[in-house]
Amino acid sequence: MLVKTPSAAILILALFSCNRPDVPVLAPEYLHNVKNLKVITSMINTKDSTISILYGNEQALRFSGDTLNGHQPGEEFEMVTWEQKPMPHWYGTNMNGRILFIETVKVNAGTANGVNFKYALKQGPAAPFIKPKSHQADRINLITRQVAAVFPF
Amino acid sequence: MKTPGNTLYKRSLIILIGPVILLAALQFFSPAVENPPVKKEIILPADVKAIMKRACYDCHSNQAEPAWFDRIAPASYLVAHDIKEGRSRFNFSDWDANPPAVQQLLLWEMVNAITENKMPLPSYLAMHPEAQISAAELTTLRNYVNTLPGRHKTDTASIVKPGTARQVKPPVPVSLNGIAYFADFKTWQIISTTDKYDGGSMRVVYGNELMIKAIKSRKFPFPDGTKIVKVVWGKQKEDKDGIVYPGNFQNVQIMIKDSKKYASTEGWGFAKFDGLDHKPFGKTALFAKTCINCHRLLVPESDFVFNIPTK
Repeated sequence: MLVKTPSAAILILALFSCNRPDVPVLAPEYLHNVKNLKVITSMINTKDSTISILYGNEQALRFSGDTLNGHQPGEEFEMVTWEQKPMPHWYGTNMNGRILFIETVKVNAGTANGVNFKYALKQGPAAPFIKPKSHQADRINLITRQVAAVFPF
Repeated sequence: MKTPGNTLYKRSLIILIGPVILLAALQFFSPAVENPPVKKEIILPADVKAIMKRACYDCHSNQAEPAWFDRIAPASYLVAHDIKEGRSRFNFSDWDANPPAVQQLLLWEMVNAITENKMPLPSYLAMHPEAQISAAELTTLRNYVNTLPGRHKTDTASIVKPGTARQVKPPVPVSLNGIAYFADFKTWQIISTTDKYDGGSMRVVYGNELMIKAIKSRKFPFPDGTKIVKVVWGKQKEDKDGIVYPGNFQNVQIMIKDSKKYASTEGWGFAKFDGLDHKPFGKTALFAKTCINCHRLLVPESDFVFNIPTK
């Protein structure tokens, strides 16, 4: 007897109705590796259709998690910005696509007990090179004035 | 005395009559479709409801109207199975069984299941072509979900920081399926970051070393030991420059791959801890079934994971 049980009948019918799924291609080039830095916060830019994560070293995390007063030499910030794209298989979410650029800001000792900021901009791994739309001073301000997001303990 | 003609005749008779007898016997045990009373039917705009009624109600409501051929075995077994399964996922006739936030998520999930051609089930469509949802109807459904309250939800409450409010420190919270919360993900690499505008949240997703290796090797499925942690915040109101920042911390979600331990959920163990007190999600350990149902339906080809970097 070909069909012994109802469940066997269901299985056979289900097999006939299956579609062969398309396996997606993983994109390691969308990953950004940081060393000894942790996430401070993330940002969604609706005007530029980008999404960013701001990282910092321990000193930068302390500044961002505190009252945002008094930068100290040694703070290091790094912000990676991706283009946004619709999440595959889920209408209702946008996610990061390719990396557009990476910005770093190092806080150094300045004159008269002050500090200065050393800014650097790096292209993402994929061409073309897209630069931030605002000026360097505005970017430094954006990167170094973020309140840390609240994390689980 | 056996003759070749007699044997051939008997064999032909068995081949011809056997299936008929089998089918007749199956009818005696054929499951009947019952429609329990409607408790609280979903309220939808008329055009949306018409689509749902035509394409979804047979399996996802207490108002199933199976065709005559659906009532004949063996098809009746498949129909009964689909209705039981369909109602267990969500039931338009008992819509208030889910809290409002879950109702909205279910509606987005329906739109996605239709977009991905996973619903209505291909086996159902083969026998019920009238249930096919056209591109214009899908647009109607998409437009509708974009009117749901969660779509433009912003977190306007003051941000509660650890140490200033209810955050509870150890003992370490443990989910109902035994997965304990851990904090070392904070040193892992980020695998993705998302703007989940269907419910007003933004997320950062971390992967452990095995996950990163698997992504770099471009290989599915992910190996046992792979771990993914997703941190979820509300979304603050967009500022003048169009930037949206994280609002209050909402929850942290974990996926751990162990193909033997979590065989019933495609090898993935799920955990979710809500709020700053890290309350384990769910009422029973079966909560993970809700997670895998959606992952299994929509992303089987990416080893049941949504938040991975793909081209």
